[in-house]
Amino acid sequence: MITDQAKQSIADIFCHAARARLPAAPGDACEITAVPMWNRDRPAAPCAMVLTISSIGFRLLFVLHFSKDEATRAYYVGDDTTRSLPETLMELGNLCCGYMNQQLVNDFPDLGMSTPYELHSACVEYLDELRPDQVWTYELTIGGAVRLGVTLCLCAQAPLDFRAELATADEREGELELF
Amino acid sequence: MLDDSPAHAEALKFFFDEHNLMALKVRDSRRLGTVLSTSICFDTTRRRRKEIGMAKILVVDDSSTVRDEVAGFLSKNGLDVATAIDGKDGLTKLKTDSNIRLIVSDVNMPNMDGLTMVEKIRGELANKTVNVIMLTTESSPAMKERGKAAGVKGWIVKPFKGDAVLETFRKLAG
Repeated sequence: MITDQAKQSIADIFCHAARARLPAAPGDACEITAVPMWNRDRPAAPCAMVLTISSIGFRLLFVLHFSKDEATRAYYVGDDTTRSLPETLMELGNLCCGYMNQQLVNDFPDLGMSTPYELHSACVEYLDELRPDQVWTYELTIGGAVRLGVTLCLCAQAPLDFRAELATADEREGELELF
Repeated sequence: MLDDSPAHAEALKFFFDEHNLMALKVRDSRRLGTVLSTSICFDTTRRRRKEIGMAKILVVDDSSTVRDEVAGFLSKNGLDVATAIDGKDGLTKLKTDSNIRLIVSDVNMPNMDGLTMVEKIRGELANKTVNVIMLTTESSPAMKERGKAAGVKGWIVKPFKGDAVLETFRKLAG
């Protein structure tokens, strides 16, 4: 069982993380709208990167949907022909999940993350096979021009209850912690 | 008669890179071909500079975006850099390149993760003197403890901010 405050906390953590990490430049707008689950009549963008945050008590699947269209390419890659758009978005997705991970680790110190991988968005139709306890679906508009989608899929192996104390990104991120 | 004031003497230095030798020839600037003295010595400053220049940093990450960003930044700042795509590749590169003095590695990677790579370095290559810094989105205390136990020297939570770590990287690679 997942409590309402735990559901709300995960949704809040995601919105915080998306605003902090998905814009290519700090300060660019990131509008987030909760939408009904994607289906064949309303499909998500065709490409997807997937990453899992896991603890002993739950698994949270993060799916970032994107198109390889001109607007997305221009915003994230620009004129750099050496950079791959999927690779760039996989790393941004990784940073977004890393941010979520940093918020969640306060309540779940055993957390670990997978490496990101690319899938076709049609795979989200099969998320039901995981028998998720909660699914969230969002549409995002980044920098006023780029459309992304996000699906969060939570599978709990134990009762889940926590309340996130949202903090801005760790001020020490990017700094070297010497042992 | 020539007076031997310094104004008429000029020093010429010749370097023999492969042996870190320096020949110092002092000649009379007014008379071509008149050598006043010649000495040969080890150029320790040059040797040291050469050694630092050779020290290499290995960047291990499965994301080409991160490899390009980190390796590009370090190269631009005059450091010698190699890259590897996962822990397995990193281990191979370390075995074959004796100049690697510092490894900057991600944790979560396919084939072999970064912490397993460090454990293998300490186990299989125990005589290698190499510092390891983890550069990762992971921040759990348990994972840092595992890194510490394996001999990891430091931990950076992504995103990478090069200016904040450049000088420490230089020292650890030197």
